[in-house]
Amino acid sequence: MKKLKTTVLIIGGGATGTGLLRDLALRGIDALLVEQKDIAHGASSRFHGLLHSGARYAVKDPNAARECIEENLILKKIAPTCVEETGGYFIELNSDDPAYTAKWLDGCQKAGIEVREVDPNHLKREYPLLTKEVKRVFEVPDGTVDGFRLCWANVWQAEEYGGRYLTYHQLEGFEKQHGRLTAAKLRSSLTGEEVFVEFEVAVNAAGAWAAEVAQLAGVKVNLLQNKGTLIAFNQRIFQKVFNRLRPPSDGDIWVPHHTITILGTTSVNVDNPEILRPTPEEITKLLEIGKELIPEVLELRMLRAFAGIRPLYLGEESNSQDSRSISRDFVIIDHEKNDGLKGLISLVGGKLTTYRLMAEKTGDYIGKLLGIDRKSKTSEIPLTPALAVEEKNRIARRYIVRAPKIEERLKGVTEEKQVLCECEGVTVAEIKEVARWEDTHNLEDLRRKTRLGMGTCQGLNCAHRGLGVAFTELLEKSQEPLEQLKEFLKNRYAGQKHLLWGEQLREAELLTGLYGCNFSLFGGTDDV
Amino acid sequence: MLKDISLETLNHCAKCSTCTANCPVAKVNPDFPGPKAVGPDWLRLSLNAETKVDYPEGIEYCSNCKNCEIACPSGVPVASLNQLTRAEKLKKKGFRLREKLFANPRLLGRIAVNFAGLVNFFTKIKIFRLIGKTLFGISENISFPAYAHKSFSRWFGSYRQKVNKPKNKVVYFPGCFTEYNKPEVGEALVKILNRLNYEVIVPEFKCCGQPAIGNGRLDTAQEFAHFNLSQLKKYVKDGTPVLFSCPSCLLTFKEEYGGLLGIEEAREFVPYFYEAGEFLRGLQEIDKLLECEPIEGKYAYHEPCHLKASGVGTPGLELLNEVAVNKIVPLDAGCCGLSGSYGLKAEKEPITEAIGQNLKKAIDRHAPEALVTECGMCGVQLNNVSGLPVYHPLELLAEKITKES
Amino acid sequence: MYDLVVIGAGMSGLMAAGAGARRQKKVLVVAKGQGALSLSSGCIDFNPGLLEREEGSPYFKVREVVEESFNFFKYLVKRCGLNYVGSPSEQTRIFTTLGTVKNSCLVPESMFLENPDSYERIIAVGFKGYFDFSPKMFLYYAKKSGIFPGLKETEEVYFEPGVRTVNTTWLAQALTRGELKEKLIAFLKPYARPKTLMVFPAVLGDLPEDRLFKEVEEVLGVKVVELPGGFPSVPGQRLHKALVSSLKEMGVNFLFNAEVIGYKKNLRQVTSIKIKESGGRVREISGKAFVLATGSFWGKGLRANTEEICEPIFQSKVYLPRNFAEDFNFLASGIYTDEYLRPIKELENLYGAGSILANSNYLKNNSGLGLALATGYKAGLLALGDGEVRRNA
Repeated sequence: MKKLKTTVLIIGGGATGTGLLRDLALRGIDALLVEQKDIAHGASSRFHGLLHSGARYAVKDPNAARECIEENLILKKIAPTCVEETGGYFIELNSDDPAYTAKWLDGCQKAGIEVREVDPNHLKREYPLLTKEVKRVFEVPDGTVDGFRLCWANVWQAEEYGGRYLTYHQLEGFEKQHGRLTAAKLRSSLTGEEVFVEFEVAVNAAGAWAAEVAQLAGVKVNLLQNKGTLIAFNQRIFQKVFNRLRPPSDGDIWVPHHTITILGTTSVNVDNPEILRPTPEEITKLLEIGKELIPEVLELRMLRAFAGIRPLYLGEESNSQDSRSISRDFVIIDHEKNDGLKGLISLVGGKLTTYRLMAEKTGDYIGKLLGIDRKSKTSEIPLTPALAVEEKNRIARRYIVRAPKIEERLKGVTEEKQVLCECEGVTVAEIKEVARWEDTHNLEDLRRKTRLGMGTCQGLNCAHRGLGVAFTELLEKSQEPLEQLKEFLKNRYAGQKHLLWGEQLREAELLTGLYGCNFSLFGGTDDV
Repeated sequence: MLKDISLETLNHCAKCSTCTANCPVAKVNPDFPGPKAVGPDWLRLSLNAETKVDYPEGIEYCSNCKNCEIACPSGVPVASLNQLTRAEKLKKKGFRLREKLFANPRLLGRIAVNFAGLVNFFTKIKIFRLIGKTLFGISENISFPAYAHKSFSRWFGSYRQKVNKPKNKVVYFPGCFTEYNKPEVGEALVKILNRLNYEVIVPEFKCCGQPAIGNGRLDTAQEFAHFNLSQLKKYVKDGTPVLFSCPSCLLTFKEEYGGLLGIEEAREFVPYFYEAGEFLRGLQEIDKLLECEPIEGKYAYHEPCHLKASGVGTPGLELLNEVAVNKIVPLDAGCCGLSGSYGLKAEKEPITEAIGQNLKKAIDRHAPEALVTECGMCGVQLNNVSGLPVYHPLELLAEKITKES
Repeated sequence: MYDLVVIGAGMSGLMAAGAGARRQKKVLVVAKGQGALSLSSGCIDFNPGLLEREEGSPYFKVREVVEESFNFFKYLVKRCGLNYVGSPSEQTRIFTTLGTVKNSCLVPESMFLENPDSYERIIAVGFKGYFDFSPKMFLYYAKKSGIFPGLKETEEVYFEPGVRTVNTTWLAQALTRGELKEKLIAFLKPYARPKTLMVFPAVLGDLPEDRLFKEVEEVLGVKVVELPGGFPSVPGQRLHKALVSSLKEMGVNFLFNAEVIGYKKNLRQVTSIKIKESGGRVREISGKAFVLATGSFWGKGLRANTEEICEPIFQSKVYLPRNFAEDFNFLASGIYTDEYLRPIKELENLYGAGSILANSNYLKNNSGLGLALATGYKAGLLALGDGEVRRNA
């Protein structure tokens, strides 16, 4: 058994947890983050990727709107390689209520969100796919954000400042002494090794799993698990975020995200955070609404459907089940105040756009608890270098502090320049280098860091190549490489199988044909 | 137009690599990453600022042979997409004199046909070819097509067609190769058609535009297309069929005008366009003519890529097999590698030569006495690699079925 | 007027055409794009055990022509210099580039691995700058498989083709032409010892007649085996090319780049099909009998939208497996046919073959090309009114 000591233990490696790790590290407070799987495997990557301008909340929640625009501007400043300043449109269709538009404009003005009206004909010319029903169009400073990249950027920067992290470590329980949590028991899901961590304060930032973590500590966090389903389209259909100008509802956001476009989202309450399956009803609904903006939406190639869980905080007594009416604001719960249990704080709710603010406030709170009075530096110290997207520096933007080694590999004449994942343009050098990193354990981790297999072919051409190129590293790290490949393909298919018609079905058949038939990876029937 | 071709590509390409597997250039040139990489892959990445590359590396090597498009299992307009991108890239780089010249074979043809002996002589002289290479980047080794001493239109202008009433009419588009290099093909078609009681009309035409497309000059191609279509309008309105003896011209009219060049009205003309052999095969009266003296000798047939692309099959071969004593051997060796003016460029010469090796192998294996193909430029390459005489199916047919008994 | 019009130029379509050509019939194959055949591993997967399946299964319908069709297939590809080894009654084990073991009935001679227990050394040959094959991974799994009990040592070696980027089709072509071949053989020479097996990704020549593997074997005195891998699949391309070329030589006519969009009938006979060519021109082609060999979803023989799944040309009735999305069950979708492989009662001269047939789930049954081969051949025979076959069936 390994024994570790830390001042603050952060449970959960999503935007909330990694944001807090960075915040504390920059303040010089010793912190260790533990994550049950890989960084950003939960809701921090399973969302639409929208960096809110706040305009979406302008009518319903002016407070959130103001927070969003402030954080939006900060993130664009400190993390220019994790966000893309696409801008966004709010589109009023002929069938929409013009009275809402008036209210919305008013709300945006009050929140300080810059709005500019755009000629709808201009939009129709630029995007012939768009419905002819467009009536009014407004541009807002929406952007997009890469959840994987943002979370890793937090982790890597924290690491430079002394922050530590353990991925693939499952929390099994807490030690309690005199009404105070003092240590946590963890187990590596890769090696099975037990890890014992002593701490002064533990922060439950487990997102959708926050209730379970609380339960292990013997307290209760009242969460509503709200599932949002999304559809990823093959290509960048729009260059800006497209929002419907109407009260926030299902299926009204289109977000261009790197090479793809994401249409989201639905809102369905579920009992278990592991239920991440989109249902046919949700997909039909999304596409029906999508059709209002793009009448020929079914002709567009879709890659996969996926779902994420929004953990919405119900408060202590709330019984409301109407998820859209529950505040998506975040809450800091000190379990000493609520349950008389010292040493545990739960962080719940919130949205990715305001993750930094949430970390700052939590950092302030923890500082007070620990008697350390240091200011948060997260809005001043850049998280990533200031590299504009136009400068053609994909490697530097994607791999941030870890980019130099990859760039080194790509210098001069080298076969490592070859593109291994043709859909996403990932080179051999990237795969080789990222596979070496200590925080890369398997093919899925490689995918999340490089985008290997996230394009049109969903691993058809690149998964087996990637496995071969990174074979030595992957073999040392965890389970059998071929098992990793199976797992990878299983996960890819899990996203495809909800959209089995048209070209997606053909793609799925192709993928099955290659791996199932040509490679016999799944083992066919033997000679009977 | 780019928007449609892009959307078609993005929505249908499954990244299966069948296009690249069938690309004759990618097979022999490691600097050409293949139609998939410069086409669908590049397009998708170019829409995203972070992965955008202005122009795909190596796209100049695409020869527009269309094998990618023919092989694609998903109906992606790969070749068209790549022509558009390549044209843009070439335009940005600035056209060389070479591209301007090759884009319009009529410019040279009109002059050359008057001094054919001289021109043909000079194009065979090493020193002139060397000058051509240094100054214009024109290959010094690939044989140029020889010019005829009398253009097809001059022959046609003085030829008296023999048709009885009531007669039928067809329009014939001879194309530059027949016009300036091998008028015998046009003559053969006119004579056959006359025997079938068809009067042949040849209005004034410009080049079909395929060489212009191949040299990245889409504006020029468009200009030719509009002129040619306007010349055809009145005939097509009456339902008069339009015949082509050159597969590349046929494909350009049928496919590129309405597709790549985005001329919407061209689609309405398409039902009237026929490959000459295809038209002949469809006539009932041809059966009687085919009961002629048989074609003797051992011939091998090369299927031009653009004929394959135009989706009419191999009617010329089928007709010949009706009359031939020995079944005509299909070479089935794929693209010839010359691809019009592509192979005449110095930097493409090794590619053309390497692709041509497949033809040579197939010809050596079957050891025919002569070769048959519909495409004039394929014929040049066939002759290059084998030294054998090359005929258009119409020439062989005409020799037998127009023989006065 | 053709005696037989085949729709689709995949394995089943080409075999149907072959059956016609063998009987000197006038045959036309119409196809749009290359389907699954050229993407295949080049191996004819077949599961002899399934022949005993109950009536109604596609296996049952072809059981009496399996042997004959496989032999005819071997003859066809051999005409182009491509040799296949094996028989439909027994599976043989081969390796893939991933190091997985694949069971197949007929395999290209270059992949056939006889007496694996006789090898003491395996040399896995990779190519510098070529990332579709990892000799390391292959050797790891080959050792683990237990298929080489006599194995004493293994080695991975990397040949440098000397170009900036190496793509599969270029490599396959370049290795057989000019000096690269000599270089490769010279490079391998030091590794040539008795009881040595040299494995390569399947890039030893792009044409069916290329026999580079044999040349290496003869010069070096070792056993050479090619491994099928990812896309593009050179063995799939070779197989496709061999079949098409042979059929062309046998007089079969091909019409590429044309899509079949409908048909015409007279009483209980299909009289012609409607095709759409490049540029959108539509015309008719008439024939005496027709074979529908358009493949499954990938080949576009079946089309799915959000509402339904159909067979778009003749609107044959389509079988939809339950739990369509689970366990890749969708692969079992396909058209129903009667005992004579006819999908539609009212159309007596239309026959279906290949992966478009219901329950031809090639993944579960491990018999993709094999079933296509046999059903294609049988459909061709039936379409030509071959009485003997009918009696037997």
